[in-house]
Amino acid sequence: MSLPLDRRRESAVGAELRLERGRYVSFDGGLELAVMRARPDRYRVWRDREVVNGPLISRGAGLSYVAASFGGGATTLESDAFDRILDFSPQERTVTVEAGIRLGGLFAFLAARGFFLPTQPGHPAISVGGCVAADVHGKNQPRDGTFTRQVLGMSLFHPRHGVIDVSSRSHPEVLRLTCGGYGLTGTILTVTLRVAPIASGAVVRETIPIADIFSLREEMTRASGDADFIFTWHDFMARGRRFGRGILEVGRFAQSDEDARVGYTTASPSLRADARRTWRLSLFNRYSARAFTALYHAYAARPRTSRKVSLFTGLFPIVGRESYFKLFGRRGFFEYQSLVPNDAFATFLETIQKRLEREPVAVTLASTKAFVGRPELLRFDGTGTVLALNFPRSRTSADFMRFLDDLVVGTGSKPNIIKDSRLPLEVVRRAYPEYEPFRAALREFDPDRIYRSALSERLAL
Amino acid sequence: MTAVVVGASAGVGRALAWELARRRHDLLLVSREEQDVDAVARDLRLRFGVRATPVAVDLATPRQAVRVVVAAGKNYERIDALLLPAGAAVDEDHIGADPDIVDRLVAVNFLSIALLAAEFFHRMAAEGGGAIVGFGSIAAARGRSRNVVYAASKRALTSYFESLRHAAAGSNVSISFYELGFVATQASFGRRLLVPPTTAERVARHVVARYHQDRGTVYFPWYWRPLTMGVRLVPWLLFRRMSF
Repeated sequence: MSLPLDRRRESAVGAELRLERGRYVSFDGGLELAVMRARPDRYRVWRDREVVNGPLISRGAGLSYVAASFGGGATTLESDAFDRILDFSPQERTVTVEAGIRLGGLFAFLAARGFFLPTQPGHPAISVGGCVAADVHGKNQPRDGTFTRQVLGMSLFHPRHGVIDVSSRSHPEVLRLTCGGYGLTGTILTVTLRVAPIASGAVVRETIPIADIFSLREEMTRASGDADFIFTWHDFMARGRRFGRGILEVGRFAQSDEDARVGYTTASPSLRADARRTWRLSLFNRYSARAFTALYHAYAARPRTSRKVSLFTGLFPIVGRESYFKLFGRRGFFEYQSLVPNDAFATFLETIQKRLEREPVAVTLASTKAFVGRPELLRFDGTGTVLALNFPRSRTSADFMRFLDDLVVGTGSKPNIIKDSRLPLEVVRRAYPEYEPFRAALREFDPDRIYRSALSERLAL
Repeated sequence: MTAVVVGASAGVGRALAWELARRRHDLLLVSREEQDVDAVARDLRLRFGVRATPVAVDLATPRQAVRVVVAAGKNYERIDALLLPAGAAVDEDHIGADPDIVDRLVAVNFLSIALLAAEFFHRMAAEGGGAIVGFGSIAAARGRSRNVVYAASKRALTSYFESLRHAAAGSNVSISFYELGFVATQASFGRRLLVPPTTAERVARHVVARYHQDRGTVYFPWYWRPLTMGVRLVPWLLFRRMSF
C-alpha cells in the first residue's frame, strides 16, 4: 500500500502526536478514571489538525476539584509544553502567554519587572488556561472582578474551526463562551492578559478576630475600605454562640518595601491531584475536626500586630499548606462553595447552624469572601457573600452536601461548578439561569461536541 | 557568547536553548517548525534578555538549509558553540521503505548535520575557537529491523564526529558527541521503555556546562555505555529472535 507523496513526507517529519494510557483523579479525590492522553509539543499539531478523531479535552495542572480535564471518553491533551511567554508590554500593561504556563512562573517573570496579575487563585501551580476555563477569582473580587476581566484575548484551537484569534473585536461570542467555559470550546493556546504594576513587593497583613459570624458583613465592609486582599476563616465546629467564630484577614500592599522580602521567588511549590492522595487514611472525623478547627482558631485569632509578608505569600496563601489536602487521605474531601445573596446570608448561616447542631458533620474549613458582579452563563460570579465549606468525604458529609444543594436552591444561591465533583445537573439548572443559553451556544460552536469531560457529561453540556 | 542550536523547537533542542540563554548566550535557533522556534525565541528573549533569532529551514534539503543557516550566522560576530540535536524518526523506517523516506531520513539525520558541522568548524577554526556538539542515539547501538535508516544515519554521524574531532585536533575547536539514552520527549511518549528516560532538562544542563570541553563520544546518562555494550554482545542466535 503506498501513500500519496505529500502525506508520506508529512509523516517523515518524525515524532507524530503519540498517545498513551494514563490515569487521572480529580483533586478532591471524587473521581478517578483511566484515559488516553497526549502531550503535544509543536504548533503543527494544531495548525494541521493532527489531533485524534474523537472527543478531546485540555489539561493544565489538573487542579480543578472536579474532573474538568479528563473523562467523557475524551483524549486528554496536556498543555505542559505550551508554557512560554510570547509578549510583554510594560507600556500597554499586557502580557501574552501560552495557556500551559503556571501562575508561579508567570509571577516570577512579571514581579521581576514590576507587575503582577491582581486576580489569582491561591496556588502557583495552577495554569493560566485553567484560570480562564474556570473563571477563577482572587482575593478582592469586588474591586478586581474575576479572571475574565483580565483576559484581553486568546487563540483557541478547535478541529472544526482551526486556530482562531478570539477577542472583543474578533469572535467576541467565542471569548464570552470560553471564559468560564470549562475548556469546552476548545484548546486555549495563548492568552493575552492585563497586568497591573506592583505597588510594593510586600503585603502588610492584619488579622481581626470575629466573635460572631452574624456580624460578618459589617466587619467586612468596615475593613474592606482600602484593603487589597480580604477573606475570612471560621470555626463551624464550635457550638452554641461560638459557632462561626473566626478571623478576618486583611492585606494591604506595603507603602514601600524598605525591609520587605521582595517576594518574586524562583521556587515552584508543587501541588498535584495524584500526590494529594499519598496518605491513605484520613485524619479528619467529627472529633479531630473539632480539635483541628479549635486549635487553628486559637492560633489564628491570637493577639498580634500587623506583619509584613512577601507579595508571593500574600497572593498564594496555600503555599506551605498543601499538606492540609493530604490530611483527607485517599478518599479525599468535599468542597461546597456557594455565592449567597446578601439578604439571604443570615438565613443561610442559621439553617446550616441548626442542621449541624442536629446532625454534626466534620467541617474542616469555612471561609467567606465578598463578591460584586453580574452573573453570566456558567461563571461563578454575581453579588453576595461566597461561603466555602470543606468536609472529609464520607456518607454523613455526602448527606450534608445534598442538604446544601437544597439550601442553595432555596435561597437563590449559586454553587461553584469547579469545586464539587458530585454537583447534580438539577441544581446547576436551577441555580444558573443561563444554563440553557450556554448549552445552546456551545452546541452552535461545537455541533459534534468534540470537547468533553466527565464534568460536561454530568452537566449534560 | 553566541550559540547556534539546530533543532530548537522542542525536546532536547528547546531545553538546550533555555540552558544556553540562562547562561547569557545570544542564540540562533534553527528548526523546520517556524512557529515553535519563534515561540522559543520570544520566551528566551523576554525572560533572559538575550538576542534570539529564529531561523526556519527544512533539513531535508541540506544544501539550502546550510546556506540559510550560514547566512544567518553572519549576523553574529562570533559563534562560540554549535549544537545539533536535530533528528527525525518515523514508524515506516524498515527494510524496503519508500526511497523518499530513506532520502529524507538520511538528509535530516546525517547529511545536513555533517555539512553544518563542517561549515561552522571552518568558521570557528578561523575565528580562534569554538565548540561543536553532536547527538547520537542508543537506537544505533546495533542494527535492528526497526528504525533502520535512522540508526544507520546516527551511526554514520558518530563516525563523522570522530573524524571531525581528529581533524580538529590542534585547533581550538572542541568536539563532543553525546550518545543519548531514552529522553522523555514526544518520540518516547507512550512507549513502554525498559529503562526509565532521563529528561531533556537534565541532558541540557549536562551538555551546556561542558560544551567547551573536547570530550569526543560520551554516553548520557553514563549507564548507557555498559548497556550499549551489553546489547552488542547479545549472541546472534538470541538477538535474531528479539524485536524491539
